[in-house]
Amino acid sequence: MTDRRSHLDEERLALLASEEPDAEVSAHLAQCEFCRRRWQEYRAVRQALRSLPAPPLPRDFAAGFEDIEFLPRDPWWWRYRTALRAGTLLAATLLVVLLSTLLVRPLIPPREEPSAAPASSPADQVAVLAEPSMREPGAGGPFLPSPEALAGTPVVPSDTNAKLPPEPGSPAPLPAAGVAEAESSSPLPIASPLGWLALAVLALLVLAGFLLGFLLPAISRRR
Amino acid sequence: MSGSEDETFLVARARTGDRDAFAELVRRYQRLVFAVSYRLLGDPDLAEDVAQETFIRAFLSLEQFRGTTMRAWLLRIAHNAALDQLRASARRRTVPLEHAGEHASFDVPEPGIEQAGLRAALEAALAALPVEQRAVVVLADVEGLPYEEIAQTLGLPLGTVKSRLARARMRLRTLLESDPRARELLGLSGRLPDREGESPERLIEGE
Repeated sequence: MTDRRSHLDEERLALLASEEPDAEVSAHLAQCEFCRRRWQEYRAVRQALRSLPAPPLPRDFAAGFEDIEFLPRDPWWWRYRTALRAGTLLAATLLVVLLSTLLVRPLIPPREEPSAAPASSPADQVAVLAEPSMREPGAGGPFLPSPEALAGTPVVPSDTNAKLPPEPGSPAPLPAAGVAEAESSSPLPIASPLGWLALAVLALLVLAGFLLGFLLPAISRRR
Repeated sequence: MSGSEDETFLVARARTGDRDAFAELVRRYQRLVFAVSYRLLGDPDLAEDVAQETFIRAFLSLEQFRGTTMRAWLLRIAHNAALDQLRASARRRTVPLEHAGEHASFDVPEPGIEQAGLRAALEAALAALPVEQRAVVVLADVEGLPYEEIAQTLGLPLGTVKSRLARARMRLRTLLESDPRARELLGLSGRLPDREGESPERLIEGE
């Protein structure tokens, strides 16, 4: 009986139907009748399959493509239109917020300074001066302010155009625009040229996004 | 201009919307696409639908064609379209070999009765294979495509293509061995020689 363990693997013999055997396999096929026969059977089956006639064409498939109206192809960005539209809307929202910040912030009045000391009236200043702050030695009479003290007393000018410190409790006057910018609590988010450039780029991106994501598709649909 | 350069030029023109260029590509591959579709489905009407679907899909997605040959790309589309058709019909084409003569076939003039019988047996055996094995055998043994192109067409590793092809051939041989006409014409025998020196059966000269 032929020892089956000495035969080539069945899958290998099947693959050899379309391959040239190497030297080792050729030597085995030369001396093993079973493997040689099986190899020839696989080659015969493959040869028979190769000789199968091709089925006749039912019609000319090319004729249909010569006659049909050419359909316009979608542009390359069409497959990304959903993400493009979402990004455009987000960018537009951000742009509106930033522009609103620029437009609205100058109209907001500056907050009052709570830590500033209330301005004293002229009557209070005279009362301060009237308090005895020190006595001259040997003097039994009432204390009289020295000429130096009087010289240091702030004199209320007779010039009516001079600005007087406001009475406590009186409403603070509206500041000028330039003053308000200096007194604002925090600087504008877009104050530098780089910020303005970024804002311009954002605006251009939003414009391009609306053009590609909304306007052009609408135009193509109307066609 | 060589064939591949000519095809590259045709593809480039077809991508710009040149219908004549695409029609020329269709003419070059319509026989192959239809034949593979027919072998996979076993029905000429379904094969015609699949072939038409293949060229329409190719026309609409021509800009995605890259990294492979046009033949492999079209056959991949045809293979996928055939699988879609099989899933839609949800039927397995298994034809017993005893009814091989009843299998749907075209009216092709046959040189002889024996060859007609062998052809029917082969087609029936092909139809009896699982579709995955059938696809590999049709591409390799019926159409003669190389392993690498089959791998590109089916989207499989080269090793998988070879192993699947080997098992398909083994199964085909078993199926044909059970048919008396095919067994005789192809010289198939499953018996091991009992003794050394036993005369072999008549073998068909395959080359």
